[in-house]
Amino acid sequence: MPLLGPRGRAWFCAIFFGGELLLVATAGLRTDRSYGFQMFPEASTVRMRIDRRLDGGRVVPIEQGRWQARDCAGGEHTFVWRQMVHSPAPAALGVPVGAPYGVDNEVQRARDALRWVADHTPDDCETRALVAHVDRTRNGQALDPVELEAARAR
Amino acid sequence: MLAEVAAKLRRLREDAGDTQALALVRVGFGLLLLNEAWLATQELRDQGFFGDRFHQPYLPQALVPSAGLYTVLLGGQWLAAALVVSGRWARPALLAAAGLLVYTMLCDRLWFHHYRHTMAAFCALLALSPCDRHLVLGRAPTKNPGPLWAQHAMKAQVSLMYLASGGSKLLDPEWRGGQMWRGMVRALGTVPAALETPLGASVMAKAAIATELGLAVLLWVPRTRRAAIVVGVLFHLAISQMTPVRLFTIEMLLVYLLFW
Repeated sequence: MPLLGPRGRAWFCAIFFGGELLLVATAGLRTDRSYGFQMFPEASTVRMRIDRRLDGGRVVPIEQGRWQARDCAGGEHTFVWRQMVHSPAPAALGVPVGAPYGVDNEVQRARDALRWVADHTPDDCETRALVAHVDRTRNGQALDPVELEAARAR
Repeated sequence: MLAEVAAKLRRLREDAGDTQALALVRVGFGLLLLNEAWLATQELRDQGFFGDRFHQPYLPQALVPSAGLYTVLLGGQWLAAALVVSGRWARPALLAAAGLLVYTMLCDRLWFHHYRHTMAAFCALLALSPCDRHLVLGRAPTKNPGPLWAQHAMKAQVSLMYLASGGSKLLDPEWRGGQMWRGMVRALGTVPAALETPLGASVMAKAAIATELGLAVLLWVPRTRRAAIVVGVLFHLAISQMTPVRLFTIEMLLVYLLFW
C-alpha cells in the first residue's frame, strides 16, 4: 500500500478530521451521543416493568420477565424477555439498571426493544400490545416516569 | 498568526523521522484487535448471532449480515488482527480491521463503545503511517526515516478527543457542578467518601474538565509535553481504577508513546 504524498495527506486530514468534527458537533442529535467522544455523560438509571394489553383491554403484568400465551391454533408458548433482549439493552426487568450513555438513550433502547419483541413473537396470539413503564433517574435525581407502548400487528 | 499556523501545519505534513514507535503502537493495536475478535467470537458462541435477538442497526436491515456472512466477517477480523501483529500486510489489514469495526457498530448500535470508535479511528490513521518498517515477522527492520504526518494526525486525534470530551462536560451544568460525579462514585463505590460530598464532587468534576482540556494543548508544547504525558498517564490509570474502561486506557497509553 503506497504512502500518501503531500497533497493526499492534506486532503485525507481535511476529510478525516472534518468528519470527526461533524460527528462531535452532531453528537447531541443522537440519543447515545455516539461518535462524539462524550465520555461518562451521565450517572443515570432506568427501571422498567412491562404489561401485556390483551383482547378486551385487560392488562396483565409480565412477571419475572416471562409470560405464556397461546398461538392462533391454540398451542401454548412461553416467552422470555431476556432471551430476546440482551444487555446492554434493558434485559433485566423490575430492577434499576445503569444507563451509561444517558437516560434518553436507555429509554430509546427500551422503546426499540419493545417494538422488536412485539414484532418477533408471532406465536403470541393473545397480546394486543406491550406496555412498558420506565422509572428514570438522571445524576441521582428522579425524573417523571415514561410509558411506552408497542401495538402488535394481528 | 494564521501564517504561523499554516507554516507549522506544513512542517508537520513534511516531517520525517524514526518509525520505531509507530511499529510498537501497531503491535499494541494488533493485540487489541485480537482481543476484539476474541470477544466477538465468545459472544457469538455464548449468546448466538446478534441478528436473532433485539439489535439496533443504524444501517437498513438489508445491509445487516446474515449469520453465515457474520461468521466470515469474524474470520476476517481474526486474520486482519494477526496480520497487524505480524507486520506483514499490516497497513491494509489495519484499514480492513477499522472498516470491520465501524461496520459492526453500524449493524448494531448496542455494540457502540467509545473504545471501539477510538480503536477504529487510530487503526485507520496508523494504516497511513510507515508502521511496518520495524517489528515485522521474518523481515529485518528498515532504518531509513519515514514520513511522520500520520503520527502527528494520531496525536491530533488525541487532542480532538480531549477537547470533545472536556468541552461537552464543560457545557453541561450538571457535569461541571459535580452532580454527575456524585452519582457515578456512589454507583461505583470505589472512591473515597470525601469525593462524594457536594464540594468534593464539584472540585473533582472541574479538575477532570481542566485536565482534559489542558492535555489537549499541553501535549503539543515542547516545554510542557513530558509533564503532560505524566499527568495524562496518571489521569487514565486513575479512571481505569474507578471505572470499567481498561481497553480505552490501554489505547490511550499506547498512543501516548507517539508523544514521547
